[in-house]
Amino acid sequence: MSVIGHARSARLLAWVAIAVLAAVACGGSSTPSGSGDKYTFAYANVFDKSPTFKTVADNLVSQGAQVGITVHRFDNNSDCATVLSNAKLMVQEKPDVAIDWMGCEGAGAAVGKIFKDANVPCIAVNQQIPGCAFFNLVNKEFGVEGAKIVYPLVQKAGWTPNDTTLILAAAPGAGAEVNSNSRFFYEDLANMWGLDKFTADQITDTTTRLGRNLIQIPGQGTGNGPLEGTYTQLKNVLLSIPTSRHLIVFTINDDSGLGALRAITETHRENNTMILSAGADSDGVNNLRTNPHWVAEFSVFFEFWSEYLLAMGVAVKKGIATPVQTYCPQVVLSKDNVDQYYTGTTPKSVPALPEQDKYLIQTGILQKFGNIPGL
Amino acid sequence: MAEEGRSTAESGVAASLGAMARPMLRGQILDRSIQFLGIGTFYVVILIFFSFAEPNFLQYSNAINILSAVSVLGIVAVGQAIAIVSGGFDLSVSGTLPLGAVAYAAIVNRPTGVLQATLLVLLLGAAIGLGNGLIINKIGINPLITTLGTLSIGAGLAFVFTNGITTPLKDLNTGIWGNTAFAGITYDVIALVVIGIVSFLVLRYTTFGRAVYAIGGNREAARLAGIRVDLVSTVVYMISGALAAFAGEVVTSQLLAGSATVGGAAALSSIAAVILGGAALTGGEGGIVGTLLGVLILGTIADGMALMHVASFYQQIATGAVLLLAVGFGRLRQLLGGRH
Repeated sequence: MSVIGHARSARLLAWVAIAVLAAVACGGSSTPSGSGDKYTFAYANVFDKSPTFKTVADNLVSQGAQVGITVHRFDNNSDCATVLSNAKLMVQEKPDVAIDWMGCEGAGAAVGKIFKDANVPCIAVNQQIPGCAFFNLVNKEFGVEGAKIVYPLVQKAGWTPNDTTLILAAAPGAGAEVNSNSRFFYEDLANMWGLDKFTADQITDTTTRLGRNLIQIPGQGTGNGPLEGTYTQLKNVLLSIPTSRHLIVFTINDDSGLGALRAITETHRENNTMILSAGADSDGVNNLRTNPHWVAEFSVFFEFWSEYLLAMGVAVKKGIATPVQTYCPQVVLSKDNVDQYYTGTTPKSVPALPEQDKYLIQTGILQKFGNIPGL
Repeated sequence: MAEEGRSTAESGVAASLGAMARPMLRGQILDRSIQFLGIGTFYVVILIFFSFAEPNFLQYSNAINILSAVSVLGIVAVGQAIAIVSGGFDLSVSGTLPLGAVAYAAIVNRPTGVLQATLLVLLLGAAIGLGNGLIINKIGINPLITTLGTLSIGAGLAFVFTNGITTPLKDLNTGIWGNTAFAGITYDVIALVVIGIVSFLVLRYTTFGRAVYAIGGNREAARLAGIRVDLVSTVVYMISGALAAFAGEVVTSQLLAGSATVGGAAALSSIAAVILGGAALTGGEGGIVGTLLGVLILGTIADGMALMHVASFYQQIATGAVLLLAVGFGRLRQLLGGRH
């Protein structure tokens, strides 16, 4: 092939490349339009591949536009290198506020330094970033409240600590805060019910079995995702548990919960099982409503996080003092209270603002959406 | 005497191979130059596209962002390139990198000096590479299986070592590779450039480099030419391992914390960059400049798309399409040119 031929091929390649990039850019651009915006926020989402988490970013963009805030979004993809790269890109745009849901434990110091050096006010979501206001759920509450829901149920069912195994589908590597939900669930239920006593601190990422009652598996899977991961892990573990034993399965999210349900159903142990899950996606809430063995669902109302974050961003920009942690709306749903917060599988209201979140009222943002009781 | 005889025989074979190779070498150089121009043109197109599409793209600070963002992948990819040129490949980098990351954090937190810690991390990576090399060359297990196994072992060890908990650097000054050296350029970028230049020179101008190409081109012919194939191949894996572990150290410097969760995509991304840069998975082709260009292409697309706020799903599609386009283009060129 001649050099001229190569040059032609290179030009052809160049045009094809332009076409691909342009098509992708046109198809995927999510920059909102609009003029006269008061603020510009940069938001790095934790993981767009999760529909639940993607909702937060989508809502921030659309609801931001409603209140005159342009939100430029990024996707951290739960990847530490991407987290750092996105933080640099965010400050490059000189936003009024940067909001970062990192999804990478330990990157906080580096990301905080980037925001500080660029003098950009910031909000950390879920994982702390030094120098940034902090917005998060309280994972421990899921465990504590979950134990309160399960305890009367096991008593009513006649289960005892001697014939029951708790299986925690946890998230090793995600950090102690995230795993405090399952660990405090065990600790509190053990205290109430008389299971073998272990504190939350004694249950670590490498724990697999403790005493008579506790088994822990990696609920987020080992490279195969929470649905398949929990399914596979639980099916393996069930082989070692006599079918006569009752099971309480605590999962970290609804994909993990569905994986657990599949494993339990396939081994015909559903009548001997209670499942608690988190996330309150439509599958989770639907199971809570219709499946007698799905007894609790931890909802943090991801659909409403955008309102809180927009209000928090405005507060940070205006220099309003923020608490150590701003709480996201959260509640542990049971079969008794699900109708209070959900219509079908759609959230209809959130709990009232806790005391430390009341500074958000000053921004006037929450009032514009009218979803918080009492505002 | 025996040694001398073997040397003479080897010299003879090598000389005759060299004589045969000379005309081919010129053709190869021309071919590689054209290939490099092709991928270089491709990169220029990408730069032009993003410059027009996103006003923030063509800024000095963004260029630094891109270089810093690709530094870790670049360091891994240099090792991967040498492995692929030698006819193997190294998936274990995805296990060695997090192990190097947490090891560095643990060592400097003791506290130990950065230089000593770096040396230990390099040794750790080289030891993993030595294991790979011995298993592949002495036991004869396929590189895919071997490095897949050590990937899993390395990644698992990183979690066991830290109990799954991220280790922040106690002294932030030990995160030296993330610090700015001059004009906004960080030390991780300088490290990548130095590693790139040294590797380029070694591959291009040393006996070892020529042996790597020879082994990748035809292992048996290389053996007959007197090259100590097993030794060279083992050293290749040691280099790849050491660079992957060092990349882990760089990540820890950038994050100011050692995490066992980093580097999961390093193996596939580095292989993609090497192939994008014109290497053949069958070995014997490719080089450092093309690889670094491949790394830059991947990094620039990610940066440009992120600046344009393109959803990450589309970024994935674009990256995959670009890889297929570039490699497909090379293959098409080969077919049209009648080469196989």
